[in-house]
Amino acid sequence: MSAENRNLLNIDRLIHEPARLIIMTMLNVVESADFLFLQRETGLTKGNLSAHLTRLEEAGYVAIEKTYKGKIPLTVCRLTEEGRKAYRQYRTQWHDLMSRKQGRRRSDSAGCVSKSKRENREFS
Amino acid sequence: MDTDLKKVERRTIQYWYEDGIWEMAFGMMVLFLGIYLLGYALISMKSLWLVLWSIGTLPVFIFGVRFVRRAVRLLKEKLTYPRAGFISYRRPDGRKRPRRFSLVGGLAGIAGALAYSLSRNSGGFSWYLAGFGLLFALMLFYIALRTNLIRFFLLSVLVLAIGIVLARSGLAAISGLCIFYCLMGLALCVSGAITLRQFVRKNPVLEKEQS
Repeated sequence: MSAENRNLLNIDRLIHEPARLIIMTMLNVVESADFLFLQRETGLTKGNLSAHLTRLEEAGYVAIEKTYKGKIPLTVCRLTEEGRKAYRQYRTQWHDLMSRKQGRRRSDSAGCVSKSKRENREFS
Repeated sequence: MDTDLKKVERRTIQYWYEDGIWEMAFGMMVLFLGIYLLGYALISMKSLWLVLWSIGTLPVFIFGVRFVRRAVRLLKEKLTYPRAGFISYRRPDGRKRPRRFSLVGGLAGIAGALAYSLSRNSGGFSWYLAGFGLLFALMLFYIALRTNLIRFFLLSVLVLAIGIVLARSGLAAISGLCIFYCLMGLALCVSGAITLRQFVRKNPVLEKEQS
């Protein structure tokens, strides 16, 4: 197995899911955010968002605190230290993977160009 | 994908400025500072009041900063969080604070010295006021770049224009600064109030309980 494929397989699938990736990205910028904010910004339904948050909480990436503000229940979410570390690692891994892929694509296209030039020369 | 994630990050930062409350509170502080400076312009130079007024500058500034913080927090709790959700930002790293303060202090010192030396051979143009205009315009431009909110770009241009117009007007430094602060404070307050009104209209309070 190539190193690139191994890296791809090593990527954290829990974070890689688009909705969870957006949640993690938002929580990485802030100290904490409540359910309403996350729901409004992600556009997910309550049940969907709740399910994603539960999965992240089970993995130890997100800490969820349920409090009250007056009489209104408030669900505050924040990234744990482990979550922050996992998110940073995910971003680094993904960035490396993409830059390697881009580099390969560039060298492939350069190879194609030189090959076609050689062919043109031979033809003429 | 990196670009999309950066957009999400930017959007999260933008949320702080989305309701116009920060702008309004900061504008009020600047306006208050302008009115305070008006005292300098009105008091005669030999008066004891001038000494007391000068001593009062630091407490007024500290009070102003505290007022802005408290007003922003209170207004956000009342108006923004019930509508669009609560969010608290990470505090900047405390270890970097001395370096940041010394950098800002150093830059302000250099800018002050430059403005002073330029003002000596200015020929009616107050570099001092133009410098203030540029400083605040840069601050607003930085916020605009971070948040990608067009109104901050417009505000930065407006503030720079106010600074330059006042610099060319030939006003005394204190009176010019006083008018500059008042106009800038008003501009920020008006922009913040319009934004807040639009925000409140667009986002009604959600009566339902949170999950």
